[in-house]
Amino acid sequence: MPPSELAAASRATCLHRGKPLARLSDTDQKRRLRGMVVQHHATLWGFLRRLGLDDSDADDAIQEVLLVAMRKLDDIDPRFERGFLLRTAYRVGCRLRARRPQVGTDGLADPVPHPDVLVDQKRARELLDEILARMSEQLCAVFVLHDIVRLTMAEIAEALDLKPGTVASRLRRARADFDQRVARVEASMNRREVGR
Amino acid sequence: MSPDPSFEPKSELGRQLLKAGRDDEPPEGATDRALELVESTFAAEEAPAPKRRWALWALPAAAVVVGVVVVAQLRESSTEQPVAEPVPTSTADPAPTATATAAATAKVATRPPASASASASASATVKVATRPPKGYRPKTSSGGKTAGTGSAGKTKPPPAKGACGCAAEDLMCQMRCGQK
Repeated sequence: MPPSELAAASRATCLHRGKPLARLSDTDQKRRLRGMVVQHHATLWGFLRRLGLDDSDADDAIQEVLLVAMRKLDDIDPRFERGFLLRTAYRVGCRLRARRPQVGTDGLADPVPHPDVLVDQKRARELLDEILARMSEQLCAVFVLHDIVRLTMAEIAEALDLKPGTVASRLRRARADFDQRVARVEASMNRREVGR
Repeated sequence: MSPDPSFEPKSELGRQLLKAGRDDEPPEGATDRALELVESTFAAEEAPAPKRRWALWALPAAAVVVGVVVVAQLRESSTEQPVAEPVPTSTADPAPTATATAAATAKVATRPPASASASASASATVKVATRPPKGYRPKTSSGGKTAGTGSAGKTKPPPAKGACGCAAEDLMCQMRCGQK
């Protein structure tokens, strides 16, 4: 590794009691932030979309997350960049989700699409988002991060600042909740099918 | 017991929904927009940098200039010549020239009273050196005393002056001006 890159890497990782010893230069900061965007944008976007934000809200939320990351770049441990971004995204996403019109926690109010329509991936995602929107934020976040974004429970615990046991408990409850809601949707579809 | 890491929903529909969620990708250009945000934010931060550098030397320089002005004014006020007494209202006496008045007052201010009998009358003149700043108005209505004059609540009329501009009671006038 050339001496300049070595110095930059040591500045980026040289932490003393959680605080950086030297501030990164603007060029290094920009390079690091660009790297974070390239590496984690898709993860952030998928997480925010499944939390219940639409495309434009997810874009806005990611911008807000990046601005927070930019302000705190010197304090972010390079090993836990994704955890920091997801934790910030969770807070921003919950705030934006709370602004949206409330949906009931029970069955789907809108007409359930016909099974044939679900072949279309887009409609499948819409139904998934409707189901997730009716779950609680805490369960939804753990479920999405583990079973859709595919993080490990340890990574979720670090990202959401939870104990590993709490993550496991929420994941169990979230899966059971998801299965119940899907079963209700299926039952509704079957009734419609029989009624034809 | 921790949950199964490779979870799959019980129903086909659930599996289908989860698969749709996992396959979802950001729309075209979303990542580019985020990168543009990074670029534009850093560009905005870099732009005002020259102003900040300019302020680094401009602020201390301004502080030094203000300090010099304040010190100069303080020095000037401490070495300021005593101001001459107001011109008497009498029109019979010709008004003294400014230089003569200033010279006379300066001498009076720096010399002690010539005698004990003259100290009472000279005290009013000596007080000129320690006169309060402009705008000050002694109380004339009630209560306050004017130090050294002994008159309570009244301002003393200006002393009569001779043709040379010295006070009429000034014992050193004859020696100085040769007119008495």
